[in-house]
Amino acid sequence: MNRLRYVATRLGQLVIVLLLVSFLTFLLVHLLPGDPVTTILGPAGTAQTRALLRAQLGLDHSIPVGYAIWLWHALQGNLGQSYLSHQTVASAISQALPIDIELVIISQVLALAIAIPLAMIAARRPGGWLDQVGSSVSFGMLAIPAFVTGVILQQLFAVHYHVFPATGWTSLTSNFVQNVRDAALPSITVALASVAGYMRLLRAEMINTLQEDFITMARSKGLSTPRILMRHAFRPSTFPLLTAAGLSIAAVVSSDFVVEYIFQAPGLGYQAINAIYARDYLILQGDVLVIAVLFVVSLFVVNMLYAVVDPRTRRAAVT
Amino acid sequence: MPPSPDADAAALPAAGARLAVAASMSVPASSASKRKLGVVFWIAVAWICLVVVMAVFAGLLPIDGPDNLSYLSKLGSSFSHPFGTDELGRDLFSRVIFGSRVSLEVGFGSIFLGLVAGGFAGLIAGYMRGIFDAVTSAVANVILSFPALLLLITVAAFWGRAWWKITLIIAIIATAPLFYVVRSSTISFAGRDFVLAARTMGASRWRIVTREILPNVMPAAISFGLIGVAIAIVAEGTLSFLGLSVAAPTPSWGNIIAEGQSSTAASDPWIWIWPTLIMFMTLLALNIAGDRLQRFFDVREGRL
Amino acid sequence: MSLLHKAGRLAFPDVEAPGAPPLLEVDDLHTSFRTPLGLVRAVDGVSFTLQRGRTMGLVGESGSGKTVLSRSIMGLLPRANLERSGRVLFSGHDITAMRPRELRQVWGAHIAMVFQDPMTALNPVVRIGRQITEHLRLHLSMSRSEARETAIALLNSVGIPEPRARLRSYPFQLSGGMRQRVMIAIALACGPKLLLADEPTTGLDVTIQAQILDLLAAQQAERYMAMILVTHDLGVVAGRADDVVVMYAGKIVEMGPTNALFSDVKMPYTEALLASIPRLTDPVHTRLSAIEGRPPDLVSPPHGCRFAPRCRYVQARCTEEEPPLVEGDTPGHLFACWFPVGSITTRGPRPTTAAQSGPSS
Ligand SMILES: Nc1ncnc2c1ncn2[C@@H]1O[C@H](COP(=O)(O)OP(=O)(O)O)[C@@H](O)[C@H]1O
Ligand SMILES: [Mg+2]
Repeated sequence: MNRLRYVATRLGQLVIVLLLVSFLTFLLVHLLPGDPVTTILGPAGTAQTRALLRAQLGLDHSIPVGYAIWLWHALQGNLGQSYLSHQTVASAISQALPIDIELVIISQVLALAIAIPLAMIAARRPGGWLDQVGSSVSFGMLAIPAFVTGVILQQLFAVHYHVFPATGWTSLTSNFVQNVRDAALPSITVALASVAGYMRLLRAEMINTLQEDFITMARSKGLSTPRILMRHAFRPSTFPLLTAAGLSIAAVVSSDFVVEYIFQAPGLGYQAINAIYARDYLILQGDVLVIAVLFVVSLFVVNMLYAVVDPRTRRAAVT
Repeated sequence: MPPSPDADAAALPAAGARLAVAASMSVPASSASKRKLGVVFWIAVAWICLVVVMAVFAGLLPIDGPDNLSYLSKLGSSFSHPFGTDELGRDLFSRVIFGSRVSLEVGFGSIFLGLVAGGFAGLIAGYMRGIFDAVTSAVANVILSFPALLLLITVAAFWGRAWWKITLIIAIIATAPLFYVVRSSTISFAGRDFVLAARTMGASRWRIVTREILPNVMPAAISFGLIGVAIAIVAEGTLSFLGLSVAAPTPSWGNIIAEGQSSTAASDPWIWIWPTLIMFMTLLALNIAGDRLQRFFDVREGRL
Repeated sequence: MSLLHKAGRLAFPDVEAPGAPPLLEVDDLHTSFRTPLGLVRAVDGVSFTLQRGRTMGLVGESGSGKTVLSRSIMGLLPRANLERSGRVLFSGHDITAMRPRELRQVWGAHIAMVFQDPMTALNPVVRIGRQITEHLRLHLSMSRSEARETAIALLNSVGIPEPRARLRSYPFQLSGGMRQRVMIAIALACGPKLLLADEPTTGLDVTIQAQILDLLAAQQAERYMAMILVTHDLGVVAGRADDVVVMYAGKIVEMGPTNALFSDVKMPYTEALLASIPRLTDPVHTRLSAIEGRPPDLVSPPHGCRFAPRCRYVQARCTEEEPPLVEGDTPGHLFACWFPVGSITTRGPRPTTAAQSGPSS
């Protein structure tokens, strides 16, 4: 029953963190200098729009009450309305979110597809020349921020060679081929940011695993090297990778601003940046809330997954 | 009870993720490379020192002011303009050097603050355990549960873009992972014989923590701190690149790169290549220095 | 080399034809590791022969090179820092000359190994069913269902209750004794002709130890399989091995048919080992009550007889000249000692037989 308690504890933590995250998001508006409504609308706003905005920002009550009302509305999907475009925040988010999801999935699949074979090759002979080259390259990659990768890829493959479009986005449903072309550079940029981390983690773990008795045992059964790497060494080594993937996905959701900005892919990050430029604070607040919740929840899911997938951790439940 | 030893590591988000990755890098690759910092480490340190000294004494160097518009635009490299000039005819070499000030101030400043605060809390939490530990760990966990870069951008957008504000926000975010590093390192040292010996000899808690534990915790803290500086510089660079850090015309690596890659400058790639290269080398040097120190001191912080 | 069969499989004659080579012939085998401290000579000139269906007990203190010897026989050691010479002929084929691809056809199919610690030697995240069937399918080209049925039969034969259900278990769901049974089932799966059991019972309780050893003996008799039973405990070997080989510091110091050897121990080291057999009355974790002193440094072993520094019968000659492994009065009983037990009177104190606690493996 240990596991039930564990899940319950984690769930409790999740709820607390979610409340804190949403509260901080709510409080952000109070950071605005002076009267937030004046800051947002400028002196021009009519009394009616000012009152509406006050209500939407939860400013017409004390902070706790304002938060409670705001949270209640947020839970019902009502995050207010942009005073610029008059679009509801919820619909703006539902337009942007699929783009983030697509980018995360493509980029992480790509990153793992690159990192896993490279890590396996490196781990086969630790210290060998393949390993050394791989380590140096991944070290260098860790020193290249995503916005630099994005700029380089854009200049190279869009401006110089015209292989992919430099900016823009076509939705998946309207034109699949164009969507893939648009998604290519941002996905590769995000993927490259994740590859080095995955590679180093899996390599280190594989090297440890390959020292284990059960690997010698597998060899003594006459299994081929690829089979030993895949069946016997890879799986026990993937649990830290799973954690890293979860972290990475969470990190991507929260840090692909810059990539979406460079390639003008109108996901949540791009929307948030533009909201900052346009001082469209309600949209920004909504984006922040959604991204933060996604982030926290994906961390939680990884934790749970970790406990479920690794049979070794089930021991606690048995003994 | 968490069923996995990594359950806590799994709770570490973005900023922590890089640190966790950094930690996994120090797996004993070859025993021969132990106990030697190696020439690469010293090259990295020399580069960091060079960049820092240039930034500090930028005003005294025989270079133009970063805002001096008096040259032809988009000049190539030459003796008087090693990196050439930018769109507006400003000397790029000077801009890159002056631009490094923001990066270094934010990078070193935030990690310094984070180390002082997180390190202090981590030392006490790791040595005293109990309620203080429970509370500080919970707080750190909550900080780690926030999407760091998002928090940074949003707070900067709402609160303002002065460099010290950005430094402060990054410092708060960085406090959490640094707290964990120092705390777990302290816990492992608090149980060692020499600490027990000092205790039996009647040394005060303060003395044990400052004289016995602190010196042993420093290597882990410093090496993770160096990698943290690199992460903080990237964070500031990202903000600058988006135009959300220090306002123009103050140069910073991020905003020089952003200006340089704008479409009008596309035909003159060196305008963004030079600052990119200098930033890359600095980040690489910080990562290398941190990593080698970890290996040298055999810091195994796999679980943070 | 005519090693390869038409189908790309190795051919080993199973019939015991009059002219057939012995199952295993180890000829002047040396295995050393290059280390920063120098060359560690873990196996230093070992020769013996093992016939089909026989059991050989390989005995020695911890660190005497038993594991390295058994892995060298299989060719299973990592090659990175390895130096080796000599020959290992399995059914007449030289294992040491085989390429990896050929070795993999021998491993699991013709020679199998049981490891010491079933907890670490079974993959914790792979179900037991797969760990038993994967090499069945590989070596014997069985279908999924054939392999499954074979696995159930195997688990049954090694005494595991509810074998069908166990296929879906993970190793941690079994007790230590059950895990070792699973490992034996895995080793036996493809019907190997030679089983290398490297301290198969060291990690187990005394009562379970006997069960596992009996199981091994029964399986071996049933399958007409030869076995090398590695142990640091002469008592384990006593009733179970046809021949005994005693190792010390990488060398064979005494060997012979079990009865002949036990009735007339020649080598003082063997005598000391005998004196240290754990009795059932001892607490579980007093294993080998230590012989005074430590095993020698394998980088630069002592001059002359390697056991001389610890030997209670030591003479001047022992530290000067290395004794050869020679046959005594009884045919087949060899030993390497200038002054075998009984030839001179005891000097000095007896070796400590009191339990100096601590595991010795
Ligand atoms: N890979 C290796 N590198 C260096 N020395 C080794 C290696 N493997 C074993 N040895 C050394 O070889 C000697 C014999 O070891 P081993 O065969 O494991 O002894 P036993 O199985 O009899 O207890 C030991 O001294 C051990 O330290
Ligand atoms: Mg052994």
